[in-house]
Amino acid sequence: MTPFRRVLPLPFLVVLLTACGGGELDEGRFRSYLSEEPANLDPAYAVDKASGSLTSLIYPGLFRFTPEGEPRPDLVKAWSRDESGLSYRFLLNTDRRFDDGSLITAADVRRCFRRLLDPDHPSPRRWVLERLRGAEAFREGLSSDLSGLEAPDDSTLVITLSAPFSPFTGLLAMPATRIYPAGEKGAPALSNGLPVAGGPWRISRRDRGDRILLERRDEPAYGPVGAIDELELRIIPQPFTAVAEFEVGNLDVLRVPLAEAEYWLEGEWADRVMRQEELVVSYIGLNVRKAPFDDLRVRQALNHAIDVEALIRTLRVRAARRAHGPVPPSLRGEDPPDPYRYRPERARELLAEAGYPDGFEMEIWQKENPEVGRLLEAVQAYLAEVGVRVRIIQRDWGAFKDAVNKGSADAFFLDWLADYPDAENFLVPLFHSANRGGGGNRCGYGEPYLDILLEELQSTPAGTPREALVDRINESLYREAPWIWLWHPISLEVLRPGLSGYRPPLIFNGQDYLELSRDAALDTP
Amino acid sequence: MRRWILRRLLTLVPVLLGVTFLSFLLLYVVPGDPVQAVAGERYDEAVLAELREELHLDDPLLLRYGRFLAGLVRGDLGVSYVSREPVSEAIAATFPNTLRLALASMLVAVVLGVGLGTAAAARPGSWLDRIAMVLASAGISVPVFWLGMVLIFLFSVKLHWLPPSGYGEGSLRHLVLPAITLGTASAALIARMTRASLLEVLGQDYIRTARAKGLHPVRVLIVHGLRNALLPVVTVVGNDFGSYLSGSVLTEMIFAWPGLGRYTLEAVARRDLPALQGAILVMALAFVLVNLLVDLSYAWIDPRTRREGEVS
Repeated sequence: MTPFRRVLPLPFLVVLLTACGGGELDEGRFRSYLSEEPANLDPAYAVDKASGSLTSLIYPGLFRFTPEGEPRPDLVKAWSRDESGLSYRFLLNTDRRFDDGSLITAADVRRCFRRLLDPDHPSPRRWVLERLRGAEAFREGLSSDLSGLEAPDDSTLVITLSAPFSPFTGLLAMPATRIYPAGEKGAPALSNGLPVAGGPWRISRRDRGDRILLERRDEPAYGPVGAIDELELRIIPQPFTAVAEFEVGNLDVLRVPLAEAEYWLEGEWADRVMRQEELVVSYIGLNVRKAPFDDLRVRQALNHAIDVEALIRTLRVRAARRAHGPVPPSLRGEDPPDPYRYRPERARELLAEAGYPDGFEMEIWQKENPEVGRLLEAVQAYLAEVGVRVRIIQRDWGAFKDAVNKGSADAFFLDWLADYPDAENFLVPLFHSANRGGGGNRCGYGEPYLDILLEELQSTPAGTPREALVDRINESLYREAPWIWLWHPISLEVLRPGLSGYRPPLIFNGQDYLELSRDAALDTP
Repeated sequence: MRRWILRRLLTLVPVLLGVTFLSFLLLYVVPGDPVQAVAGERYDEAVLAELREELHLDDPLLLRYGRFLAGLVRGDLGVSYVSREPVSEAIAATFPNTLRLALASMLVAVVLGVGLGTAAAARPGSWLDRIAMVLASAGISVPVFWLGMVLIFLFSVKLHWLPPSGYGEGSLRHLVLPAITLGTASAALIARMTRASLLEVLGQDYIRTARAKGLHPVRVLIVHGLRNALLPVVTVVGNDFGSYLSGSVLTEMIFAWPGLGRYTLEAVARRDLPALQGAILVMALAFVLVNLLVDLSYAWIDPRTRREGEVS
């Protein structure tokens, strides 16, 4: 054998030798994943989904969301609200501790909440506590006194609002209102670069961009520690890769990508696919400050021109429910009457009435996303049938957001994810005139009568009158059509056999992984 | 030689200054407001203004650039707008992973490329030559993302030989598929270059002399032929290795590899200017250093270039 032939197989031998042997399965570990690296674990700056989910797992709060989206007491032992709906009194558990052993007191809550409003730390989540009495003067640096936030003793917290806000406890379950021990310059304390926390899970290891390991804290408030005491969150940006990892048995749960929905819904895994209607609305916003979208007839025509049901059947593989207004069905009553049906003739009539018998040209902006691209191409084809010539503008997230917030886009595709499970969160940020632009109202809609109704909604306590008010506002908006109403997505998740207690969350930070258990031996592929 | 190296190192300073200024300028004019990424989906304009002030985004371009350079002199790449962590820490965490992947990919590329190219040149026109060149053409044409997906499907999902993705705490098993994916295109190019260059060298008089002296054909091919045919190959290796060090975004995305490419892509999406500026600087530095090493290797491979370098 020549020397050349002798060395040629070496690299392949190395590959095969290193390839031998698989990783050992740890039955106490639940393996899930995030699609991006959490950008910031400081609750005051955690604005992306991944950061919000993780901060909710590691830090305690007055409340926390269940997978069903209910704010459940966390640090709070008991609470009451006075008749005016302005003052809340929270009695805290006195035995809860941070990882460093220090007791969690009302003073800690006060410190973290004050930091969220502190003018020296411009937190983008400041709006969460802007309703506290004295918050405006405090955040503008006009007063050092925040009268709406008092901690008379270690276990009592009194919060007073400047105006009643019925979903207030939902705000106290958001990532922004997590409680943490103070570190450098008031930021969350770190130990060896990892957060010192006190929530259900503790980060034991973080490999940037690769994975985060969490261990279950032995805290009676979160229930007994069961068979699953470790959580691995891999960072997997590509859905295809996540599918492969699930198929080889490296993940315990998979969020099914739409492109693969049919395979999972109709194949051997069909029985294990869990469907959850998310608190999300997908829409094409119309810039109502620009002609021709300032004309109600044009907006209604665009809604009649698109067969949304067909899009749900084909592009969404039925994993969506048609939107009848911005509020998801689980947060409101009946669908509004006279829904927009696919009627291209009616759309042409409305356009002709509005003075556009030959249609017009418009741009629809989207952030880079192939699924959205396919949707907008279909929309483009539908609108072309009624004479509306659409140009699709695709930009990266930064440029897209800049243009849309400034009101320079004719129309745009977006999703709105609930911050807290209340209809108010789908109405006030998105349609109150005070929130035009970056506040959430990107279509620039604003009507004085609607503002009054929205403000009334904020102060109306839960009950039948409030539900009626939600339906009234939703119906009014539906008719006014500042958006092309699309759908509320349904998430599809598959759980590996042998596991139970996993419920797909209704809200993005509602997954606490606390009730997971293994029923039987792990299946191995 | 030392003086030449020193002179080359000194030329890095204006090159890197130029790179940092140009990238600073480009990031300044590109659409998209950095504070909107920091602010998330819902914010009020007052917070936006405060964030802008805190992050010095209202300052003139030259003042911001001057501040960046002042930090750079102290070894400080600044703090990420989004994570609020030092950029140097993030780069220190991600760049070694990219370097590891780049080295493994280059190993794949060189072993496969030089091997195939040499085998093809040894028997020009044979079936081995044809197969090698078909493989080389395929390797150049196949898109990285497609190849990565196919390899994952075949070796992970179907055969269960290798893990589909992740860093795996540095295990070699996790490196194999991304390295093959990234190295394949280079391997193909190197194979073609090696074949062409080797065929030219094998026609030289000194090769005929070596054969006439009765040397073993493999010795003639490898020692006398290949070494002299390597100069253009080294250029390709250097260029590709430099670009691998800049982060191979697609490969890192498909294989969930925690490298500099993914970090840079996230920084672009979030308009995280300090993170982006730091990443660009490191990439530029890596690229020019690799080029310097390539130039040095010319002198080692071909002594004639060493003499020319000394004269100049």
